[in-house]
Amino acid sequence: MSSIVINIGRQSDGCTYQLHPRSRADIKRRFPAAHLVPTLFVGSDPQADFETFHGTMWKQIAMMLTGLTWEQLEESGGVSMYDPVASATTKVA
Amino acid sequence: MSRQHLYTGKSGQLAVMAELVSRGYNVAVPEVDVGDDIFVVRDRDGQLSRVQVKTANAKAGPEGAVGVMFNVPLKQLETPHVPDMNYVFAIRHRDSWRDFIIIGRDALYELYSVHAVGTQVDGRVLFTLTISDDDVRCKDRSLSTYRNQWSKWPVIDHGASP
Repeated sequence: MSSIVINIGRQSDGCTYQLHPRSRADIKRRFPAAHLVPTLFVGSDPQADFETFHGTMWKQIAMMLTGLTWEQLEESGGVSMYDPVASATTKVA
Repeated sequence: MSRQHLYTGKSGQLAVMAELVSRGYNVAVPEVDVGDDIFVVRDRDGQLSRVQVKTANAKAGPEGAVGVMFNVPLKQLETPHVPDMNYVFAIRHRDSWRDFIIIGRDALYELYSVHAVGTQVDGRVLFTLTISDDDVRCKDRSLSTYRNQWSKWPVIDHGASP
């Protein structure tokens, strides 16, 4: 199974996280009992450095969005954060 | 260069605003065009929703159906936001509004990325709709669920007691 992708939407007051629709479908198929969260918003100080502030929370965000443990996510191919506006993908370590 | 598209677009935006106001919501148009056409506000609690209106004139097709095309920026379709974007595809045919297709960004993104509805061209996703009395179809998917589906903004009776 390919890496789980989470799309990022940066806003002035924080960041919105949402599972890529294909990842959502893959997780539903593989883990039918998983409790998926449709959207997660994390507020932050506009002056905060994005990756320094948000990057430290990406594992937790991935677990909350998917309802899976980090071990399950690693077994599923890991997690990547995709910022469409920046066209940037970052693997979550 | 024709300016018709400016009038077409504005007419759709105003038609959607009229519908939302008639349902009891306040509406505002951003001063600066950053992709949102309309901000919709529920006055009693300030709940905000965002709407982008796409307007097109439908062309007659076979067996009484009409065809219409819309496009949205791929990056906008991919980017989540709180509050999230809602698309309204306003369809005009024979000097009247035929239908409005109301669909959330997330649902449209799922249709595109999971069900291959829509075609990507130059950073935009093109949706070609065929509309008949019985159905609204894009490729092999029915979008009739979204036809004139204003339920995201249930009618507010401002005359009722608080």
